[in-house]
Parts: sequence; structure tokens; C-alpha cells
Amino acid sequence: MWLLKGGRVICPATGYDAVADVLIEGERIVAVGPDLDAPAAAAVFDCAGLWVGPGLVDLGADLADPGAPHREDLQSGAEAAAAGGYTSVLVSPQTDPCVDSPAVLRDLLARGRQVSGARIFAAAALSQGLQGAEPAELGLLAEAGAAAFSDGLHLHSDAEALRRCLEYARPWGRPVFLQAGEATLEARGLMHEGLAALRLGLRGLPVAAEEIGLMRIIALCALSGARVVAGPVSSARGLALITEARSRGLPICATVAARNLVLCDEDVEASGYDTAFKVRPPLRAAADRAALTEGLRQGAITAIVSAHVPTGLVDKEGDFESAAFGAAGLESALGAALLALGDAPALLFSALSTEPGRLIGLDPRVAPGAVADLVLVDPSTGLRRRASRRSRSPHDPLAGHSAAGRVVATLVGGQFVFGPIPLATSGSGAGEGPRAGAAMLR
Amino acid sequence: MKKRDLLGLRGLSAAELNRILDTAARMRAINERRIKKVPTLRGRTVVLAFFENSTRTRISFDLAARRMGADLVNFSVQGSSAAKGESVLDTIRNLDAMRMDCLIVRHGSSGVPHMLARQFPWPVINAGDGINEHPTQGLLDLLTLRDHLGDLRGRTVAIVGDVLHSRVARSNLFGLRTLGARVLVAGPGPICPPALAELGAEVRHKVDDVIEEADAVMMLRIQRERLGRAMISTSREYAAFYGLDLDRLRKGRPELLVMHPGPVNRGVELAPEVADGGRSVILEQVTNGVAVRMALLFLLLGEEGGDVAA
Repeated sequence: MWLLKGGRVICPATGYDAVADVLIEGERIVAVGPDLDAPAAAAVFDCAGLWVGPGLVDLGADLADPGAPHREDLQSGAEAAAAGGYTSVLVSPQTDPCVDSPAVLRDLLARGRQVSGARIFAAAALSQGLQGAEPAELGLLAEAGAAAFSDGLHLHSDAEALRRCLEYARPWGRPVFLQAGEATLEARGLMHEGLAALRLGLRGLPVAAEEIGLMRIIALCALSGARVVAGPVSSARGLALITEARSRGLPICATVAARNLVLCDEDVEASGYDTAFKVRPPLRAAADRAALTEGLRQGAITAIVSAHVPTGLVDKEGDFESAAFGAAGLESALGAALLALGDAPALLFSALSTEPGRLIGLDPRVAPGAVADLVLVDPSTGLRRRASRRSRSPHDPLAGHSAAGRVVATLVGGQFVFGPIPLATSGSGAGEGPRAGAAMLR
Repeated sequence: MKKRDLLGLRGLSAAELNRILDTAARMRAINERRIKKVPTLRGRTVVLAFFENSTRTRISFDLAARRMGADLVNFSVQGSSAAKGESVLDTIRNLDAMRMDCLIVRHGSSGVPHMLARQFPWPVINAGDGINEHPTQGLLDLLTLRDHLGDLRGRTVAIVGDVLHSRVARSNLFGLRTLGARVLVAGPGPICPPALAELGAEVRHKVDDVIEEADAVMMLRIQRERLGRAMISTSREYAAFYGLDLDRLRKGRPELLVMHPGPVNRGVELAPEVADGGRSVILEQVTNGVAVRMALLFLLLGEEGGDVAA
């Protein structure tokens, strides 16, 4: 039993935004309000100066488990997520073997229930083998617990096949996540095609590739009527296409990667060919970065994702051209989002928690009766961010970047999965505040 | 003292460029003597690591290091451009463990010399990285131009061919702009795009569009093996609009200099009569190459070395 005392409780689902206490009993929140009368058995966690919000929900994490657990496995991924304030993570089906069979899905979800840290949800394959040709066994996968369908990072070139997969998926009601890109235009590209790439002598990934990919996705969403989540979007032009599609009432929404709100291609250039900056979607121009943040404020973009694509040390220790794409993102996403949206905490939590949660059937809220999946944020610090502490992947382009806040603690089902724990155990009610110390996991 | 590297000409000041060229000009004398050697770098170990094919650049660096008196390790790794980065790092780590004083590296991937320069304490000289820069080629071209034209401010140099993917063209463009020259570029659309104006070039199209204004024209080798799909058409088409033959040469100034980094695709970008003719300074470029490389080794490793900047 916990009493989270005196924090600023922010809940986009209810519109609540005030300094208040949160009383947690077992797995659930039982009361929210100022100066609650807490039972003597409740341990007190001092939240003065902190934000108390719904736990973050990530829709874009590649945990390479099964297949390449040296990059990230379910345990390290769940811990990294918790360290980043996430209480739920939707895992990509792009594993080895991929999640296109109910057996693999059941095994993944079962192992996910065993790890400590954020909750593990899974997107199942949209097409068999993620090849974009035949629909996977979407019905059986839905029954086995798939929260969404996706073909991971695969770019669909067969429009007819994608149409049929979307039409087949539609009755099951799960959102379909689609990457926006064009394989031939992107074949040799290494970073955003623009002035920075020209100066560095690196082949580029043109915005036109994202535009073409989005046009295809939008047209097929309209044709099939399937609920589509496109992205992560990285360009102003791409955002304009999404905005137009949504204005027509299409069942499409878009995500954005947290790092694209903070970094741009000039940062890639300043890094001096640092392979941590080799990511997809690429870090585009400063004008794109500004447009993406504005898109969040206008509601054109629905959710911020971590774009956590962990890479091992060996994957990126060589030259920029041969290095793998990808970087860690779970632990740095909130800090990046705070830099972009720190002045609008309700929007911040909406984009990081409420809306992504709703997309996969959750209902994140800080209200009586809700599951106690919460994040405690200190919005005041200006620390330089450290590199990943929990993720196996040491590569994060946001490492060393200044942060506008940090995760103090994360609770899943009323239990601390990240953060300092008061030494007073539940039952003594000693009313002590958080102590500096090593993070403890359940 | 903080070590210096030569990773590219982009970012070097005019003073720094001129210092290297002045030093190179003095080095030329050594190469004309009967005993072509000085003891300046005796006992120092210089490593040539070529992860991409080359003949003349490698020999040029080899001679430069030996004539400066250094001990030389010279190896080339036959590898496709898909050679993994980790083998580069492992190779260099092993050499570093044997203790070395300078690395000269060529690799098919942009940024490799920069990565190595960050990781190791000795100077790194870029002998060509991917499609980024080939700074020693740029320097020897600048020296050759300076020999014939003097002060390059206000002079016009045309570069023709695959400018977008040519590290030679890029290094020359950066160096020439820093020294105040006007640079015209010409070539087929996909490989000589308008975006090059962002780097300070005036973008034209055909050789005919640049030949009359140029004091010097630098023809680039068209590298079919390096180009992706659909970048150019046939060799015949290329020669017709983007190549330099005698007829076209006559449209230029009487003193127009003809340059080429080599090796020449005879009959494609340069007609044989032009490559071998009176206006061609191609072999002078090669001579200047050894001197430039000697100068760099001196400036980076010599007694007063470690500080290239003026």
C-alpha cells in the first residue's frame, strides 16, 4: 500500500491536473485528491516537486528476443523501459523466428509475464514471414493475444498484397502498424538527404521516400478501411500528408520518434560520423524537427514512440556505411519529449501514455479504480543524460544531450519497478521520503 | 601537444593550405637529387593501410615516406566495399599494438579516417574515404594550379564528371573555394546535381558550358563500377557531351590547363590526343603528389610537426 504524496497529478484521460495525493492498494489506485487520509499501513513516497502521471506506453520497441538477445532480451528491455518511465511496451514481431505463428506469440507473451519491469505486449506479423505477400494467421494470432499487427521495418512494395492484408486484418479490429518508406530510393542511404549529408559525403535518404510510402499507406487505408498507424514520421512533408488524410476522416494516425523532436541532421554532422546517429527514420532537417513538434501540438501526430532498435557493440563499431541502423531509445525518450513539450505536461502524457495506450486497448489514467501503472517525473533537472543504464545497447544519439527532466520512479501494478525505494517497508507507515540509492527492481 | 590529422580540406584555412603547399614546393627539390632521401623521419614507423584498390596513390605515399627516411609498413586489403568496419578496427588495433607513429588510410566508406583519428593517438592522413574527400589529391592539384596560375583568387577552375561521388572533386572544390577561386562543375544530371551549389560551386551541364571561361579544367574518371543504377547512359553518349576532345579544347583559352587525377579512361572523358597533348599537366600532378605527401609527413611528424595550422 503506497501513498504518493504531494505531487502534481496529471491525467489526460480525466483532465485532472492538480497537486494531490495518490493512494494505491494492491494493484489499483483507490483514491486521488489533496491531503488524503492515508491508512497507517500505507508507506509514504514524497512526491513534492514531481509530476505523477500515467505510466508511459511505447508502441515501437524492437526487442530482439527471440533471435538476438545479445542486443536486447525481454528482461533487459523491460528494465530499460521501466527506467524510461514506461509501464507497457508493444514489442515488434521482427524477431527470429518472427511472430507470425500463435506458438511463437504465446511463448513470447508467457516469457513477458515472467520478467520484472514494464508489461510486455506484442504486435504479431501482418503477413507471413513479414514478407508482405500473404496474410499471417491473423485470427489465431488475435486469439493468442496479439495487441496489434505489424510487419516490423519491412517496406511493402506489393500494393495489391498489402491491400488484401489490410482488408483481412480489418475485422479483427487490431491497429496495423506500417512503416513509411520506399525501398529503392532508400537502398544506399545512410542519413537524411540534405546539406549535412552532402558535406559529410554520405549517401542520403530523401524525404520523397517517406512521402511515397505514406501516400501508399494512406491510399490503402482509405481503400481497405483498416485502422492504420503510420510512422514514425520524420518530415514536414510527411506530416502534411497525414494531416490531410485525417482531415478526410480516414482511420489513420501517426507516430513520431522522440529523438526526432530533439535532434536533426546537423547533430549527425557535429558528431563526426558517430554511428550512434545512424537511425531510421533518419534525423532530418531542423525545419522538419520543428514541424514535428508543432504537429504534436496540433494533434496531427497522436503518439510519441521510443524507436528503440537496439544494436550490439559489434553492430556499430566500424564505419558509418557498414554500421547497422538503430539505437536505444527507451531510456531517453521522456527526456527528449520534455525538451520539446515540457511546457505542456498534459499533452506530453497524452502523447506518451494515454493515446498510445488506447491504440492497443489500454486505458491509462490516474484515477480511482485504475491499475496503478504510474510514472514519477522530476521536470526540473538540467542534467546531461547518461547513456543507457539498463538496455544492452550502448548506442543512443541522445546520450550526452542535455535533458529537461528525468524519471524518478516507475510503478507497475502498484509495485516499484524502477526508482529509489524508501527503506521503510509497507506496514510501518514511517512516512519517509525517497532515499538516494541504487534502483531496486521487484 | 594535441595531435593533428589530415582528414579533409573542408575546414582548413587558406593560411593552412598555403603552408602545406609552400612546404611541398620545397620538398620537390629532394626528389630531383641523385640521393632522394632525407633523415627527417628516421626511426619513425609509418603505416599505409589501403582497404581499397589503388596503385599510384599508394606508390606515391610509399615513396614519400621512404624518402623522408621513415620505416614503412605497406599493405592493402583486397576487399569489396562491403568489408565490415570491425575488421578495419581490429587490423589497426593490432598495428597500434606493434607501436606506430602515423597512419595513412584509404577506405571505401566515408568517415573511416575520422573514426580512426578519434580512437588512436597518432596522426591519421586520409588517402581517400568513400565519396567524401581525397585531401592529398586536392593539395597536389592546388599546387599544380598555383605553379601555372599563381594566386588562385579570381581564377576559374572547371571540374567535369561525377562530381557528386568524387572525393577528388570534393576536396578540390573545398580547397579552391577557400583559396578564392571560382569553381564551375559540369556533368550528367544525377551526378552533377543543383545541390552542389550549396558547397560553393556554379553548376552547369555540359563541357561546352564551362570550357570558354575556365583557366583550368579537371576531368574526372567516370567509374562505372562505382555508380549505381541509371546514373549515366552509354560511354558514347558520355564522350559526346561530357568528354574533352581536341575540337572542344580549341574552344577554350590558349593557355587552358588540362588536369586529371588518373587513371584516364582514354577515349571517354579525355581523348588520347588531349591526355598526351601540350596543355595536359597530368604528369606534373603526379610529380607534385610525392612532394605534397612528403610535406604532410614532415608537418605532422617532423621536428616542428604536430601543428599544421599556422
